[in-house]
Amino acid sequence: MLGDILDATVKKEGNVVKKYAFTGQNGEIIQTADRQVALDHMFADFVGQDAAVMYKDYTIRQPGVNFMGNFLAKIAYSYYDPTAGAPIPLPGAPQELLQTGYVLKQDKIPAMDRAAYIKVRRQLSDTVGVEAWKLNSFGEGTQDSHDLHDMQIADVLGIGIADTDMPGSWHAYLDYKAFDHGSFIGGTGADLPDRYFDGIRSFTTGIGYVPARNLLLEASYTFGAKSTQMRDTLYTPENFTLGDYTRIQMTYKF
Amino acid sequence: MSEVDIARKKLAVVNELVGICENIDKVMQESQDSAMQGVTYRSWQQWKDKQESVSGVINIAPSLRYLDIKLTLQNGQSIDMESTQYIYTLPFGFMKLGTNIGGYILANDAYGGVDGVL
Repeated sequence: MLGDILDATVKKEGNVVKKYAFTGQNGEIIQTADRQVALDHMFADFVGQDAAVMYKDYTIRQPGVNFMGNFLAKIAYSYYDPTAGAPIPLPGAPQELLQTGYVLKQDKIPAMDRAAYIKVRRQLSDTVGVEAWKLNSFGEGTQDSHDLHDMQIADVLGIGIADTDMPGSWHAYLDYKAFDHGSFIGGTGADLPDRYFDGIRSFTTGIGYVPARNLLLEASYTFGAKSTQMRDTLYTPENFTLGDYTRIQMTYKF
Repeated sequence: MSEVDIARKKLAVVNELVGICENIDKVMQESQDSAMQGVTYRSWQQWKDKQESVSGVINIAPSLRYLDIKLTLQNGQSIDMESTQYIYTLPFGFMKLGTNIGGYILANDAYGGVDGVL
């Protein structure tokens, strides 16, 4: 419908919109050629940034003329009073009403009691090896909005070859990580920001090369980062993703 | 979170509130035969209907009085949609005079969430 307003304007003028301009959240003027960006702003402006209900002069833009302000003003000033002042519950009416909805709960993550991991390494040839390890915590498990469940620290599978001391040597790897929400205890040694270890599963591929003695060049690329479970938000639980993460690093050993 | 995400969540909360009012209506309707001892329940639906003007414009949502959008057309023409001087006709028969777009035109907006309110 908001688009209809823009379309009606364009139709009237028999022309095409080249640019939209509006005032941003911080008072800056935003210019865009993207119609959707303009529509998003119109929508957000319609709903309103606040819910103030003080308005006297309709000809001046003031708080309270947006959706939220107007809605609350109508509730307050138009006397939505279903029981006409009678005490609740009304006589003869049910004592309780069943209302379905979402419950927002705060996650409770217990302190780490014990954790252990097992690692298996197998050398396949002079230059190729395979490594897999699994790390788990023990104890109460974590209590979140999806109820009590065992808390998995991480499942990491790696494959690679490595020889970092000799010029010309190189290594490569591909790993998969899955960290439950709240399980990250730090100190993984992984070259990723902490946010990729809190309720996130992701893949990382990386390479390393030793062009000269004591000099190591490394690059890694993390992709497919998705949440391991839904997180509660104000209104509904949401899945979320993180963007890809690229890291390029040069290390010189003195 | 972008401003449009925040706006969507605001509407979602309003819809939740309206959903509660409608649920109470339903339960109270089922209780009509019960002895209410002279107390009349005035429903959300009745109240909402009363907010409609004779022209049919639902006043519970605001009129879209202010359009903070300025257009630059390819022929160089500049249009300030907030201007009360700019007039156009919407496909559903409403004319914009800068002040009188009924809020209900957004009832089925692609963003969703307003339906429950209107």
